[in-house]
Amino acid sequence: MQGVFEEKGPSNRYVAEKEGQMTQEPIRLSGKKTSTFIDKVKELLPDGGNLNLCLTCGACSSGCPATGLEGMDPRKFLRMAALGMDEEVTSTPWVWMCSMCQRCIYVCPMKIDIPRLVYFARQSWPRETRPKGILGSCDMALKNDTCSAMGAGEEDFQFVVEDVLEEYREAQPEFAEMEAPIDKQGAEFFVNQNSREPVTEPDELLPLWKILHTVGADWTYGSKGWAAENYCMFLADDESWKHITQTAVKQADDLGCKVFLNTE
Amino acid sequence: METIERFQTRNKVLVVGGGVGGIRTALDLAEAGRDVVLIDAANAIGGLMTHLDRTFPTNNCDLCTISPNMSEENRSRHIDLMTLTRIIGLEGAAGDFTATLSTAPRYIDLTRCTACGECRRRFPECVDFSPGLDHRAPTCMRYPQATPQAFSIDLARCKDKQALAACCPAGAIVLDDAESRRQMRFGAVVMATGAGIFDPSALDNFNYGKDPDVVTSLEYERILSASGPTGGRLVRGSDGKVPEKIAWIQCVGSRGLQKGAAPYCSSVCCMFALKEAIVTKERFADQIDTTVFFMDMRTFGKDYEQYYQRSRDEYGLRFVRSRPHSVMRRPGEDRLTVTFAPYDQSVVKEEGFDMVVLATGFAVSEEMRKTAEALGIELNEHGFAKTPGFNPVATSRQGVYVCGMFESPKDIPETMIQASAAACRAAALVAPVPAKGVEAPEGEMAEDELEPFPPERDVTGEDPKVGVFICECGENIGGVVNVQALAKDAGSLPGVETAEVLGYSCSREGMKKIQERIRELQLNRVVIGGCSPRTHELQFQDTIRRAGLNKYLVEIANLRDQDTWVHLDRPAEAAANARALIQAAVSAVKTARPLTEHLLPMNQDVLVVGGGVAGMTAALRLADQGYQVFLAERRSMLGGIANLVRKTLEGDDVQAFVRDLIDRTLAHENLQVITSAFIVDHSGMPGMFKTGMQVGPQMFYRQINHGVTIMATGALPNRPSAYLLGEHDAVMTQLEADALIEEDSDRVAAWENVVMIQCVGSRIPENPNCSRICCQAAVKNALRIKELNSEARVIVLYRDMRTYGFQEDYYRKAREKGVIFARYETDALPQTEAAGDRVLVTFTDPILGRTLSVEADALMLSTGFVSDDESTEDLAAIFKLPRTSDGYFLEDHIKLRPVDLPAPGFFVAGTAHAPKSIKESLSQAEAAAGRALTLLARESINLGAAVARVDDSKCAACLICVRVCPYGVPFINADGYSEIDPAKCHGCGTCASECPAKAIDLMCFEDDQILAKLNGLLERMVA
Repeated sequence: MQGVFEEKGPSNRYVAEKEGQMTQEPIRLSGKKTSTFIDKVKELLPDGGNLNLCLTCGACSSGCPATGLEGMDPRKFLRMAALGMDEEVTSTPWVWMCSMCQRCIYVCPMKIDIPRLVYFARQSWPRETRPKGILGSCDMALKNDTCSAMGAGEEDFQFVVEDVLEEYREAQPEFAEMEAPIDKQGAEFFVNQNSREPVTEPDELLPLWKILHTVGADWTYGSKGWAAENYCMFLADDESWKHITQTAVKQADDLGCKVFLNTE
Repeated sequence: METIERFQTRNKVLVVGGGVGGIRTALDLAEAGRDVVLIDAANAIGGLMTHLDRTFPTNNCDLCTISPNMSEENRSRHIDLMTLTRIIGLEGAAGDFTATLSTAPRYIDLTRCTACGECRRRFPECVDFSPGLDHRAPTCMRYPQATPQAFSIDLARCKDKQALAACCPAGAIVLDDAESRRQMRFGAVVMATGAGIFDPSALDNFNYGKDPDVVTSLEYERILSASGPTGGRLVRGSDGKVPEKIAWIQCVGSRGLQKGAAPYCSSVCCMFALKEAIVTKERFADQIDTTVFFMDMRTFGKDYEQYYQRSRDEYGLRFVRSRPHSVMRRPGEDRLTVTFAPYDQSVVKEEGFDMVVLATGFAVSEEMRKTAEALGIELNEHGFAKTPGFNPVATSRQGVYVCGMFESPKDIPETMIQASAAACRAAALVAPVPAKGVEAPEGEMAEDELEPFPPERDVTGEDPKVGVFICECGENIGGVVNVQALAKDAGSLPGVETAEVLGYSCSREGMKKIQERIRELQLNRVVIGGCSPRTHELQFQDTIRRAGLNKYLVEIANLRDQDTWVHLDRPAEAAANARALIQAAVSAVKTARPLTEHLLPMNQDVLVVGGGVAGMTAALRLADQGYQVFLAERRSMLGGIANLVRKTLEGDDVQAFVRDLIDRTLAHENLQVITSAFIVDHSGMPGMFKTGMQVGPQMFYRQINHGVTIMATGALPNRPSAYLLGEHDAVMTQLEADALIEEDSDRVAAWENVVMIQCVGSRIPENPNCSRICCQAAVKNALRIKELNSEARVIVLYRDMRTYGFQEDYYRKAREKGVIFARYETDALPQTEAAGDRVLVTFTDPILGRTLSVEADALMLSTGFVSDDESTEDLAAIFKLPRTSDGYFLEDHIKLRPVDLPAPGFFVAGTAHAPKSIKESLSQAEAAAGRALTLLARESINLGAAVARVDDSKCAACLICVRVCPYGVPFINADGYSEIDPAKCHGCGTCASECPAKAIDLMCFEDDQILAKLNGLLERMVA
């Protein structure tokens, strides 16, 4: 499935309004009310995501890590959408600063689904105009069955895991029996791993292994789909997000694992 | 075991729930001569109000305000009280119900328990007296004035039951006590069970229940309360330190859709938060910063807006319009961190507070659900009793009425109004009966401890034998002065027979003790060293009267209010002052004489002034009960403002209702309607009023004799010149819009843009209060416009949305339909200018920080009410009634007597009292009728004994008394001296103080008594 919103041409690109720039024209509301971005999103969400119910209490903004960035915050964003300011809503780069942490909806007295509104606002951006870092990471993940956004292949991963394991078994005799299997058929847990650890911080792999070893878990990585990060989700690219997830799930199914332990 | 009691009469009312509402209903019914059974699931009556510390507007101690009411209840001769009792079934129909009542075991024999506290001392785990912080704790006697004054046992917590039973010196502990059931017949039932309190632990972002410094507002009341766990010291739970910064967070558990919160507004939390913060400021002044985090400040009640203004301007409360995201304590930090976003900025702020108070709202309780099920009454979607739009205290079952929180969240005055309304409705189904003691038709009822008044002992000629009784009043008096030493001192005063210390003279035990001593020692005068005669004089008069003494032989020394509360930190001075006060009281009481009260026959006709919905409803309720009612209306037609209203917020048809009401009013055989009536004069007193009026186009003079008066003169729709009103066709009031939507729906449906402006002519210096009904009017009209045209853009410009109670549902519905609500500040009002057929409205949205402009097809102004100054000013002068500064009639007590006017025999209903909705007006109309019934039930009027008396040998007929009397009572008689009719004298004492010859004495306040009192004081000063 492609994004639910038709992609717009580059002319709709966001034009930054610098803070303190008070020469803004009044927002004019006149004539017949037309269907707006928020109306379309409401149709897609159960109970319309309660998007109309805002009391402007500010609970969302006061808990949002992205409040104040680009002069924006969740309440203001929702307010703009409610007032039909579609151009601003679908062009502010602020939507890419949201970490989808859900702190806003968690405390919202009206349980308004602001994260989904942000998500659909991202989706309204033409794919190629979305932030380069996220876009590049998603594209990289699509190139390899490991789904690694850093492009780490099956052999790279296997080498690092075995190397680190061997080193620590020797250095710490009490973990001499510890294992870090890849593609172990019939393991109970399928465990994934953010690419950052094997690629840049191999030592960081160990704490998780130690825990799993200590509790006696029967687990495995997969040679395919071991990478836990999913930048395609953050990119609001539904199709690619689905592809990444399916690749990992298929591997877990093929290995006969019962539980998918998503570490991300 | 099921005991079926037979041969019961159905001629009585069951009141379920003994909070302030239930107590008020029971007292009104009892005063109106009806028998009442009052049941409460708890072990003492009083409900929620007894947990509170102080209340708006005077910030008085609640317990002192309510406890005389409760003890009045205990002494009432028409009321049977059953605690630990629930209703579990109701058969039959209005006029003849059979209720099944279940009483849980108390394990204590009430007739034996003396509340000595021995069981609590020995087995604190199963008998807990001390009032805890947790309002849900199974405490047994939460406050010392509890009714009934007795403990109860939680047997499940007891390990050695036999030892517990053996410890009671009175042998009052009954281990084999069991649940008992009985069936009783009733003519009517009133539900006053109240509501539960929201438990905020589900909102885990506030850390309630995990951090001891996060408390609910009710817990904060307990902390402030003198009878609370900290003895009234404001300290925080974590380290016992006095907090320096306290935050209140509003709407916790109200106005929410997740984590178990209620979607409605709990109506009272804004006011109690203000009150708590103000009391904190009053008691700790500059040492404590108080901040209130809120969404909308809902101070919509009478004069509440001014309280809000005062809280900010005089007390320095800080208000932050923001709902904090979370409250948490960072590891190692002393303070709690509150995270919030200011209303008009895109920033996150963090601020430290020592304590956070969550203004928790009201929730449906298990008790409510169970009771509703037992009664077979319908509940609304929120679980509160469903009442029809124009029948405010009627449930879905005929003969079952509801008042207070069980109907909807509401504050104390509203509860009191509904309680009196419910009493009025229930009274219609049962007949008055003689008081118990005079004739006891129901032998099976719980034994009445009260005997009829014994004959009065003649004490004339006896030497004074004074009994002095000094209250400890917990820490209030006993904690400041040494009461034993004080009693010893008082015992040595001449004429004092005995001087004793009592824990609480006002408790049942205390009163019994006083009566015993009067009989044993043949005392002929009594002095109580306690609290204010204002609250307790009647009670002690009654106490000594029951021991055979004339009630005017008691004197109260106000040790608490006039001494120990004032000199808290100076015990030496306090002790000296207490001695002086006792000495003054003893001197005064020695000169007191027995006085006779004057009785006159009661006129049982009623005058209702004002023929709007409130006036007609009050008139009909009384006429239905057989009283002759005169309804005087200034205009030529009945109906008042309701004639202009088409629909209520809930969608009820106002016109059909008003037409029916007018028809019934005009057709009623006991009701005489006098239209075009202008009241011109008034005289008399309750039970014998005379009111003159000029009637009809000819202005014929007519005089009405009546016993009570109900003022229902209404208010006026406000229509200020603002925002092009009256200058542009697209600009109208909400009231006009209400009619237009009904009459010209095609025009309305064609509107693409509609703007509404709230608080036009309200909450401004010229009309400082909130008009209460405008937010609901705007939401109502917005929803109707959206119904006609769902694509219409409707924008409501407001200051605070005040859709209290279940109105919040409609506010939410309006947002759901896409109505935009935008705040404006008073220093940046919306701007309007004509734009052809339309109006260009420009305003700033504070969230965006940007200006918006709308070309509106219609601009609706929420103009609310103003008092009918012209008529209330005249009427206030004629009837001698006080008014508020904004021209509404001022009630006797803003909390506990919201229907009674200060002039006895006068009651108020509807918008003459304050702005209110139709349903609220009807409720108060029924309440006024209910309060009127308490007077009308009397055969005679007691004028009291405090009247002026002329000594004709001293009178020089100088006419000064004739001139100064505000009531025109004194006249120079045929014998040439001043005569004052005791039946007309109001006892104000003006003539007595003005008379140059000292020929006039005011009984109860005779010169020799006052001088004796002064001598008592001065003797000490010299000594």
